[in-house]
Amino acid sequence: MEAGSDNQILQKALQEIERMKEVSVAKGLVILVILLSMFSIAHAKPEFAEKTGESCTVCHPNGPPELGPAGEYFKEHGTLEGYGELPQGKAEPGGRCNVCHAQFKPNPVPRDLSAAPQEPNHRFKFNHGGGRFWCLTCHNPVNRDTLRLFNGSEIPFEDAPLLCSQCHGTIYEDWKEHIHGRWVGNITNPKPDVICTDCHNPHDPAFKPIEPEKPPEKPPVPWDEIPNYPIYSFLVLALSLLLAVYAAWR
Amino acid sequence: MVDESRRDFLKKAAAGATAAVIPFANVRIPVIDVTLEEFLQKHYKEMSEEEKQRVIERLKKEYREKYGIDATIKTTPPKEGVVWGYALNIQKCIGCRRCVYACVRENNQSRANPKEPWRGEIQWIRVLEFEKFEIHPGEKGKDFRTKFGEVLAGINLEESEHYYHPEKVPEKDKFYMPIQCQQCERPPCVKVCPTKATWKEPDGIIVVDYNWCIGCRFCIAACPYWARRFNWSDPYIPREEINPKMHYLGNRIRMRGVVEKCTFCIQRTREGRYPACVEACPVGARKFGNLLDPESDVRKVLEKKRVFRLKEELGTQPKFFYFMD
Repeated sequence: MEAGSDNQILQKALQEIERMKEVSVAKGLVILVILLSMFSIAHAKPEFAEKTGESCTVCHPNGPPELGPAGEYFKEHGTLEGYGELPQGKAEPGGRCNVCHAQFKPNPVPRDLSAAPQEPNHRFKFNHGGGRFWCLTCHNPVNRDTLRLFNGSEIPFEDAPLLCSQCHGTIYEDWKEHIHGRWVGNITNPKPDVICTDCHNPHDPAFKPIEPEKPPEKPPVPWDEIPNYPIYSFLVLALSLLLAVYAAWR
Repeated sequence: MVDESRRDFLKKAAAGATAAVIPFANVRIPVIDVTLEEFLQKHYKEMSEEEKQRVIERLKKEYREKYGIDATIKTTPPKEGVVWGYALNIQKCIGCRRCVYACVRENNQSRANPKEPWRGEIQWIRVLEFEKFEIHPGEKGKDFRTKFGEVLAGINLEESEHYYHPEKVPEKDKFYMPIQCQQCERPPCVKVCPTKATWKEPDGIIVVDYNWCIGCRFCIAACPYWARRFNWSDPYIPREEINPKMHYLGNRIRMRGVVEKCTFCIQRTREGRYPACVEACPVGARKFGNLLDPESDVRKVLEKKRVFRLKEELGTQPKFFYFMD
């Protein structure tokens, strides 16, 4: 009896286990379905990745929902084209560099940044200082949202002229006197809120050649307008010569 | 006494004649094709405020009929204690001609007519292109001798090119020098004008009363800087490109047969704004300011930079300075 009841209990237990197995399989299936649906949500907008051709971390350096500088640029312009080529002065103000750079250890070794895996914002041509400069010559290695002078003091991006004046002192003096730079508006109170980096790209400061406007129209010249002008002029000359000779002979 | 009364009589008679003309003001005189009022118009410097206003009303009406625009024509007088001066950084200029076309648009200069482009195109600024070259004194073709003696450095204006049109400027081994009215302190153009239609204003700007210009072009011959232009034909300006903010002595639309020139954008500078060419220059080579104010841009340039004036040996004393860094 005991053994029979034992058997029954065992069988019941086995049945119970089978049921639980089914349940867990069902549960697992449900979880799998949920996971799959989540997976599909994660790839709900793969078009961004397709459009940019970049990995997720380019726009989301600190994980998906939050946008980094590149992500915001994409949101604004609809493309990452030209993102790294912006003059990185006042036009692209400081305050966002630390989003990524707070995680990295400063690396003072000059290297090719265009090949860096997740950095489209450093893909500009660097042409300043004749190869003697590197990022950390001007940018603050400790806090990337600021600049650093040679004496070690930290200055905001808006005070860039101070940094430039370290090498270009005479031009800085001229700029303060309004001799260097372009000033518009009222003569006695011109718009002075133009700093070096508004006109010069600090990473490639020399102005590039531009297309000239069209030249003035040339006035018409007789030998373009009148066909056979040389023949006519020769005939007139010959005739007048003949007349002169005739007059002298008379 | 007798003379006084006679003068009075003449004055009254003249005033009476002007008043008598008013009813017939709009009668057109055949042959020369101007209204009676326009024909009897006084010289700008002799007009009273009232008379100026009447002339301006007439011009406004004329522009409305002819061009379909509502213009504002000002007669802003010069400010006390202001003499305008100009400085141009010849080292920075890249010869892009942005100033030329900013000037054309601002000052209602006649455009090139698409049908006959060479007829009547007027530009007050001309940009000259020079070759850079070394000077070797004594070597033929590589030194300068002028009638003012041996000049061992300088520019040869005769060898400049103003029709240059490369794909990109500045070109290598070239430099550029824009020329326009130099606003001389002793202007030869004013000296030769037989009708006194051109004169120097107290703020140093040489202006033209287009209604008094008879088109003899003596001033063009007298100017050593190629600064003056003649309207050989009626100006061609597309209606939508007309700048309606005008000054009587500056950018009001000219007529055929008169001479015109740079006025340092009189309609802007007398309101305290920079000339159009200064604002247009993409490299900031152009500087403008009051020569009597030691804090002005131009005075700072004169203090700090190496400056020269064009054809200084002629004694015209230009208020236009070229400088280098």
